[in-house]
Amino acid sequence: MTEREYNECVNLYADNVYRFILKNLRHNEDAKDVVQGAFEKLWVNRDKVENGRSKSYLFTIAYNNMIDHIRKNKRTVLSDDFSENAKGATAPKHDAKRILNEALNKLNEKQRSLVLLKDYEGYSYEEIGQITGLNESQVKVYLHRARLQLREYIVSPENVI
Amino acid sequence: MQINRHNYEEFFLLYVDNELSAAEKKTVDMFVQENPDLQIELALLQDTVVKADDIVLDKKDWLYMEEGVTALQENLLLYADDELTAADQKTVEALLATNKKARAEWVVLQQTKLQPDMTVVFADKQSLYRKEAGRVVVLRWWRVAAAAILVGLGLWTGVTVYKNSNKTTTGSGELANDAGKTKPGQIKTTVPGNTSTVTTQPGENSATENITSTTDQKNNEAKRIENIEPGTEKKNDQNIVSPKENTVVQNNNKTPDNNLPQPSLQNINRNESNETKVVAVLPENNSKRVSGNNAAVVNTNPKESPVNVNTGTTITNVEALQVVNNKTSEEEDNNRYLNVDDDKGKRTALGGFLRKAKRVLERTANVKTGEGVKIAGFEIALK
Repeated sequence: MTEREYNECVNLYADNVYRFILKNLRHNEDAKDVVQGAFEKLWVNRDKVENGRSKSYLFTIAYNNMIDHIRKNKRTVLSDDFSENAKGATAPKHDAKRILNEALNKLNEKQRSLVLLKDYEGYSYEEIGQITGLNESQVKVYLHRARLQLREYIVSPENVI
Repeated sequence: MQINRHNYEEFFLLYVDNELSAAEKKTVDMFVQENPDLQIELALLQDTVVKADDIVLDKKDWLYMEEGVTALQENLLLYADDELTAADQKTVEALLATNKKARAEWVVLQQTKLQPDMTVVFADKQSLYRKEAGRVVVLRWWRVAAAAILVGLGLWTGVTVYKNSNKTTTGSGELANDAGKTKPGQIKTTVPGNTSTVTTQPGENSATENITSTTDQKNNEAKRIENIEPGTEKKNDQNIVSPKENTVVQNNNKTPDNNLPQPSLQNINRNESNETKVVAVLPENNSKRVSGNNAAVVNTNPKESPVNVNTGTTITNVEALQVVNNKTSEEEDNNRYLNVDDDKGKRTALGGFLRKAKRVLERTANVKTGEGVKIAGFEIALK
């Protein structure tokens, strides 16, 4: 990868990676740090990375850095149980996007990453597996489970759209 | 194998790993009873066994296969993830078109699909750009400087040559031989219309240098023939003959001499002043003026082989013959800048470049040729 190709990757993928990390971490500065770390590593290893695989490489590095960041800081305790949060909602109930974001935030980091990689970037099960270090079957199982959990949250009586 | 005090360690390890049969365990127990000092060693080995019951997996529910994930949901989820084959996609689409329950489920699942917020961008991209270090820009600067120097040299040479081409010079010159050898490539060919010829002499004695362009049509070109008497200076006259006429233009003040000149070669390759000799050449003698760094009259008549005056040997290469010239001080002053044909310059790329530059400039500056006899595209300098 040349210098020019690297800088082109910045133009093409910086926003995508940032969007993905920000949605996971929900912290602007931490997301920027993760993004910068990912691009720094891409620059250091630019001789080993083909230009066509630069995007998946960036997401892989960013995802791993994000996981390390979460485990290091433990900012949020995530839970798969929506029952305790399904009650007492004060926000408008018919805001589908808000409800979906709430449901997304309730997933663990792995499930949330899978959903974001699938919906934001359109990666296949295999590509998601390469980024997250899972095999294709695991990606499929985790992603389906996350999707069904989001579904359950949306259709719960408190959040009926 | 019987257990004894020489091999009991292996039996103890197998005992701790629970790899012995019941009978073998019993044998080990009996051996330990007979050897109480080894019982402590067996106990220590048993203490190293990690008990698995200490580790408990919490929250196993995520491992269970969820009941209720129907085949319909499975297919719809795969359809939503675009992971179905084309045939399966058509099957699901057909199901959605006909099955109301499937359609309802599909609507709900579609709501779980996230859409990226394109307004979220990474603002500080400048901090991500990188530039490779170690680019050599000095080389580019040197290239520019070298190119400027070469261009300047070319211009200076051209101006100098153009100035000197306006001065009258003697027709003959000395043909410089590198290491005493002649150079056929230095034969001058003067083509009608191409009047830029300048004659030069070796060192500082050259008045002008004949530099012409040679063509492949030498045999069909007009010949310029001039007669130059001894002691006279070569003039850049208008003695240019058209190809069709093929006439001989002579110096009006001179009388053609049938005898071929005997060139004085004692000053070959010498930078000091040389004695000029006038050579009278007739067209039928096929004498030709050799251009180059040191123009010379060459006698191509095989019957009259030129003799090197300096050495007394016969010059077999008739195309190059050195002729000495007498140079006035004025000519020396005016032509010193043209003395680029010294030995040092000839052997360097710069000298070759300068020679080429001169020829190009003379061609473009329309410098008139000197007086000489033109035969078949060659101009024979007549002294």
